[in-house]
Amino acid sequence: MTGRSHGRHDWLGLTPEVERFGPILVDRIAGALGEAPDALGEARIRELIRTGDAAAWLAYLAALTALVERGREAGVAAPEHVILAEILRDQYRLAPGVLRLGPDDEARSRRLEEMLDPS
Amino acid sequence: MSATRRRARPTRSGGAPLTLHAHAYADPAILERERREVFAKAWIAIGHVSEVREPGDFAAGSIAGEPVVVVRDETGALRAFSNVCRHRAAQLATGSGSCGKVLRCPYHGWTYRLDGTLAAMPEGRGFGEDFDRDAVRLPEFRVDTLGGLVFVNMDPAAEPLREWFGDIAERFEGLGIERLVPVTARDWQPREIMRGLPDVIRSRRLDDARALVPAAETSRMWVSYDHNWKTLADNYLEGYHVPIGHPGLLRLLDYPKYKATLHRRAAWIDGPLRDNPSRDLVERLYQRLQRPMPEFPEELREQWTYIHLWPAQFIDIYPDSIDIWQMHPDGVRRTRTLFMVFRSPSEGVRDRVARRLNSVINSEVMDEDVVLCDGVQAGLESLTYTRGVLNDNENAVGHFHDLLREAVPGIDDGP
Repeated sequence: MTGRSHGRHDWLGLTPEVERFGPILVDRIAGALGEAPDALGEARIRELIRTGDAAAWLAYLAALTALVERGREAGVAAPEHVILAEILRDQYRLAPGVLRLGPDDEARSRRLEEMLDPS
Repeated sequence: MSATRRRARPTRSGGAPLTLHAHAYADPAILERERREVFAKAWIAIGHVSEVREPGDFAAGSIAGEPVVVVRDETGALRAFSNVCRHRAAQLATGSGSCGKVLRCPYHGWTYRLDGTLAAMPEGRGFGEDFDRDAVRLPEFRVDTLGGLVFVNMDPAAEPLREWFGDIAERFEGLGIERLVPVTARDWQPREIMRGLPDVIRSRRLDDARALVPAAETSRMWVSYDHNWKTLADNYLEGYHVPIGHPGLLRLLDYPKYKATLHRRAAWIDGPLRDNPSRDLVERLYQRLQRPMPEFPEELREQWTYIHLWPAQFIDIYPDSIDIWQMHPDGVRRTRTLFMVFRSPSEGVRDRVARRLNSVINSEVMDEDVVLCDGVQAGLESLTYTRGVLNDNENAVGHFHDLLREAVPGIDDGP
């Protein structure tokens, strides 16, 4: 049944695209910003999949969104920046099917939508 | 043959109406036409208004095998969609409940907004840069409510719901079904609970423990019968067989006053209850304990009432509860029936016992009907039988057959 009482592990269905593309995109954006990508990189994603939960995943998405927003403010115009923003936008669009978004997550989602489609 | 001649009711010389040609009960080609020309063009009840009261609430159902889902969207409007994911055809929702802000496919996670548009799909980049996700949306159907039930129609050209059912609509609304509540059965699923317990112990979270207990849903019981759907419908629509086939029912119902009133796409059958006690203990107990639900209309308190809504929706109106049967053709000789029960929200122990006794009595009636319909289905396929005649007490069967002749031209022509 589609229902609000999401299964405890359903959030794992969100992770594949981030696991596949996230590390390289984070590397490049963080590199352009002169930041160390370690806290958001491949090891972090794998750790989350192994031992994390929905709340930790949302916190990770929040950190990725902050990286994208810092990149935008710094004028990072690389395609990687747009791709990561699109992946995050989709994460927030998919998330209500598997977990409950808080007001801060909703706000992040809106900012990503506006960033990708300012009209 | 002209369309006019085709639609005219065939009669025998004595004037008694004739039944449909027996071939109509056994021909797969006719069944396929019925799916397209009868069911896909009719208003079909999918659920009860209480199931879709809040934004995000949904109720899934089907129209002769076509999966549909009704949702209350974020603006508060009711919407009906195809319940088929556009990706690989999985059903998006089953039963009823709340889906929050999106409908998510349980197969690959394609996620739809409550306006039917595609919000996103997992690993979306894997569909290529040029894939136009904005063009993906669930086909939308018409939806409306009448008398506490939510109806869906797949035909954009169909008449509005109230006009469709004609003058029975107002009478139907007077039943107050919207004030009743669906009977629910919490499915505790002990194996599932046991399987989930280790996770709860590990997480030590109250929410995880609560999630083990499934929410109460409308109890939808599906039963399959090895009969053409019209065989079952014909049987429901007439009381002529009651004295022969249902002795127990004859003890309860005042048969001489049993009568069907015909409406545009419906029949209303009054079955007044006898006031003398039955000799059967269960029936006598029912007579003693049953009392009308407070929500129940005054004029129906001393009777059982049966309503047929075209094409295959049957509503048993008892003073103590209301049952809804829906027939879904599942093959030329197979019908899946969906059964839902509604009761008063203020039902007490005595009322519950009376409802249980009612269920015992009517289960026996159903068992008797299945045996009768087994014989009829075999008889309809006999080499020696083509069609029969209808008694005055079978007027609702004749009306049903006329509606079929109108909706499926040629249904009566035979092979």
